[in-house]
Amino acid sequence: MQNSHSGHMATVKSLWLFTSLGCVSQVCQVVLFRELLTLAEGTELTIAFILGVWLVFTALGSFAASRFLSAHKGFSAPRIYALLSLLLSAFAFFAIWFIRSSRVFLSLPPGEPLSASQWLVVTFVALSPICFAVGAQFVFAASFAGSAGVYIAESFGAVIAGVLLSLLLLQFLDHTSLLACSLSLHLLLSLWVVLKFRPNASLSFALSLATALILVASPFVENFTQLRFWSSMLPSGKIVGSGNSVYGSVTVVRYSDQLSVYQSGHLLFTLPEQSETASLVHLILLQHPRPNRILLVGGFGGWVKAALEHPKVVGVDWVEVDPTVPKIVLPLLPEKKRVWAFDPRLEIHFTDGRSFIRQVRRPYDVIIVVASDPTTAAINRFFTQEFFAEVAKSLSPVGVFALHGLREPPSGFGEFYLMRNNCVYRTLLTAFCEVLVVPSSPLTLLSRCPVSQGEQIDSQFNLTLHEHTLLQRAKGRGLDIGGLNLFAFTDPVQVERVNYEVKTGLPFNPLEREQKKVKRFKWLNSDMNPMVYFLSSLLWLRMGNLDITGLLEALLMTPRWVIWLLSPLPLIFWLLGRLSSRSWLVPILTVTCISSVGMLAELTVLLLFQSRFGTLFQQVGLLFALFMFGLAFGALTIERWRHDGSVLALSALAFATGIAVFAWWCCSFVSAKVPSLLVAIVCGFFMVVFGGLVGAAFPLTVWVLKHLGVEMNRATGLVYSCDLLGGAIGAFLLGAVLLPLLGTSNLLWFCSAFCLLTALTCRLQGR
Amino acid sequence: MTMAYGNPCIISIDPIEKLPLHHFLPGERTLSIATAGCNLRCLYCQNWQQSQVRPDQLRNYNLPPAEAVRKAKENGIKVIAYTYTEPVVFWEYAMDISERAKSEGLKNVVATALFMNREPIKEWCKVTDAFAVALKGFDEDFYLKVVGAPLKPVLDAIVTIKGEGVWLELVTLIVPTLNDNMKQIREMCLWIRRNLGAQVPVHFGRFVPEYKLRNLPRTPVTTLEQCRDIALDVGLQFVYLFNVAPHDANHTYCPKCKTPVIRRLGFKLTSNEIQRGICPKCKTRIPGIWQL
Repeated sequence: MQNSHSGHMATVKSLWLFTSLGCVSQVCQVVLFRELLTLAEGTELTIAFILGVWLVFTALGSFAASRFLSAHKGFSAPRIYALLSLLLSAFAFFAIWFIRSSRVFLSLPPGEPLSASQWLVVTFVALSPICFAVGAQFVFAASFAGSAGVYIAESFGAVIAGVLLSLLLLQFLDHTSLLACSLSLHLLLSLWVVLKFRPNASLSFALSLATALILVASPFVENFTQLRFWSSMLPSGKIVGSGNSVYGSVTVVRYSDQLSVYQSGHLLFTLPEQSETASLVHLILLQHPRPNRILLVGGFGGWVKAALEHPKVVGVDWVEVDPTVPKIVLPLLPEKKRVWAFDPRLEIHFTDGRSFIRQVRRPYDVIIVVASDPTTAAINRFFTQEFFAEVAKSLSPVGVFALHGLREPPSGFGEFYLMRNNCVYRTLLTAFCEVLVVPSSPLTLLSRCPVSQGEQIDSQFNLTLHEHTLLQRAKGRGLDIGGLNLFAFTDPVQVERVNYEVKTGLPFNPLEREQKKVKRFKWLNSDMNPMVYFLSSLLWLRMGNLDITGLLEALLMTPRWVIWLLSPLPLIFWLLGRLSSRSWLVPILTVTCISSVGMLAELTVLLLFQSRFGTLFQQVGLLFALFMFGLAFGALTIERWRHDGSVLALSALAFATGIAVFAWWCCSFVSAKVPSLLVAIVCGFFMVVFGGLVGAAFPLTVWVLKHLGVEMNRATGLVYSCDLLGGAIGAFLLGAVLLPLLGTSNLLWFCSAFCLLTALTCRLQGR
Repeated sequence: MTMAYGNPCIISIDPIEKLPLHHFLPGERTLSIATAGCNLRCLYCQNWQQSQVRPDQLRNYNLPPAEAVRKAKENGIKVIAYTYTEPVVFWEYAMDISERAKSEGLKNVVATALFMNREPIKEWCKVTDAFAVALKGFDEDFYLKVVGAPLKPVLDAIVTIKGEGVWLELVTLIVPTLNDNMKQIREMCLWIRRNLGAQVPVHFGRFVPEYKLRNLPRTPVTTLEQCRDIALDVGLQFVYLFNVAPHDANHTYCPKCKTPVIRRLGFKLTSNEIQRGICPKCKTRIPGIWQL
């Protein structure tokens, strides 16, 4: 069936040839994203930045291609499409090599991650050529196959790739193999395109040769680049184990008599564990009079072992989200060092810690969560009001909760950076009556619930860091303290310092008898108002000496209502369009708006889903696949709908987006009170809806622009660019910056209103 | 000339063992002061967030020299330590505090990498009671590439302090892959023995991955123990491990009868049996400053 809107060469039957564009784009995105995160701390800002760079450069590529096509009509689009496939393959392998060799180029000493500015440069250099090629390919494909058809095919390709990656491929293939498979497929389908539309012998030969080369060379490239990376990261270390995990590649390196376990290039832990770990575990368990049942979330090796060695412990439930790590590491330990893993009192659960706690039936005496610094939304879930309430419910009446993982900002950073830990402290107080900070590195926050009626608390078991008291308790229960160093956590000056700084958010001056008591900000951290991960991003930027933190600090101080000053923007675009006779300005704004709001809404669905069901990679991958499916479905629906291409149709779409966002806000508001199955269905439904709205915006806007007299190729490039730019705005500005600052509710309200105003502006234009 | 006069970025109260000084007033607390900056750029600096920045890039306290001494006395602290970053870069500030402190009966101790000329060192020795000097390695190439300065001036400075008769202890942080070459460790210990004497305490420290080198594993304990064995084998009498606790190498042993005369758990003093600087068992003199 011919595409009646475009009158192009391709038929529907040949559109499947372009699914590989979506596949390769998705695979490159996932692989390079994971590679780039090996070089620097993965905060929400860095994640959003990578996504933003991807979208912006893809937009630039499509914009440049549309200009090229408009200016040079004699070139054969199918051949250029195929040439771009060759370039894409070269760029992808270059990117892998460049990322893994960047430490060598920068002469970084072993163990040091890239600074923020170095990482930005590497990200640009690695991603921009690929993104440019992907964006350009889309436009060239659209020029001879129809924009809507290619968009749909690309979306379906992304869905297929996303599902396969999440459920299967990431666990079994390394990154270079993943790239090789997807690029080979893309090259072969590009060869088919050339043969079908514009046969050319030398191009066909080049494509075939490239496919073969990629498949043959990829294992060598993988080994070579990995060796380069690890020889720079840890020279004289010997890789003794490795494996693929959906959460990141795992590498075990032996140095002297130690095993260091890395995930995605970041050191997770070293075995044997320090004695400080055992000391800390025993200190935590000494806070409870009868620590019989223990729940440990995270904390491989030393934590579990020490918990099992503590007298009175009857059972330990250990929750670990990634089974790959124990699977690779345990066989490498000498037999007597892994006996603890087979202790009959130990039960191991491979699942998300938060969803495990939600389903707890019998209360625990002590719950210990060993987390990383809360730099992403996924980790932030272990530092929120909702999580602390869930933990409080899972504890016995005199139960103790220990949260380990908050880093202290370095001395001299000032009170602004102490606010992050103060925010976590005050959030803890919403669920617990007593919080005590242990000066470990990173910090450990001990918390306890109030006693229920009828229970007697032994006053000797208050939370304490008094060394003598702890030693008495240890002696009383027959704990051998010979191998412990409790003083590391009980130095009175350090205890006073960390408790003052965390509880007030002010720097401690040990020389002042009276410390300052000033009212600070009253932020709390919640699943849908994830303030802490934003503050963490600021902290890590500051530690990377990147100076835009001044700008972000200013944002933090800005009142929330200021964002509403942006609401007249659609009207301004309309006026500008009228004054400059550029009637396409409003449709362009509309597609950018829908795309950015759609991306933001997608992120909020993900936030809610993660807070309810945990972060299991496969589930998250499926959610993204639903969004991409919606994208394809929306584009297809518009393609089949006999619309007149007027801007009023676009107005209706913007209106629908505003209503959908509002409806989503209503659903998310009541989600805590409805059964989990319904929440899952609603999340999936809205992912499809938002994907559909974003998907529909693209072909509709192209057609509107064509109706307004804009040349087809130019329209395609312009709209695709703005579509992607909108995605970048949604990911970076809205998702990583404004969402934690304003909170989900406020931001969704604003976005809904903005969409409705945009719809109104389109209506004004349509008249 | 220091840019941070009167404006430290770190003020802390620490056990003196943390400097580390094990033969100087064991068990005493110190008022530790540091300003931003350093004249070196060790790639593995544990305090790089303060040492590799300018003073105006940090939020600092306001603590003039007179105030520092007054506050120390108010809080019952008898020792002021200039540590964490590099006291050479706030030398004038440290000197002024030291002079006042000395006149008021307080002690001054310095933890430094000692990349400085001899004349100011001699000035410094007049007001300082003990130095913990970081001898980061024993290879010129290592010093130039990793530390950012030549080795020889540091060695000359250490000998100068010894010549001035001020109490001296040496500290080497052992960092995996950077300075854990045992051949160089042996050469260093031999140099110490020849130039400073067998009784200079030497501390080998365990590197802990934090911030800048956070993907480097911590130093294996066996590596540190090897360093200590080499030092003892060469004839050095007092060799300690720090950042490793509990460990037998935290204690002080009589060089003659090998009795543990001072026991420590990390930075905490757990027992001190030295009486007037003498081993209680065999009456051997244990070098150090044991009383105020």
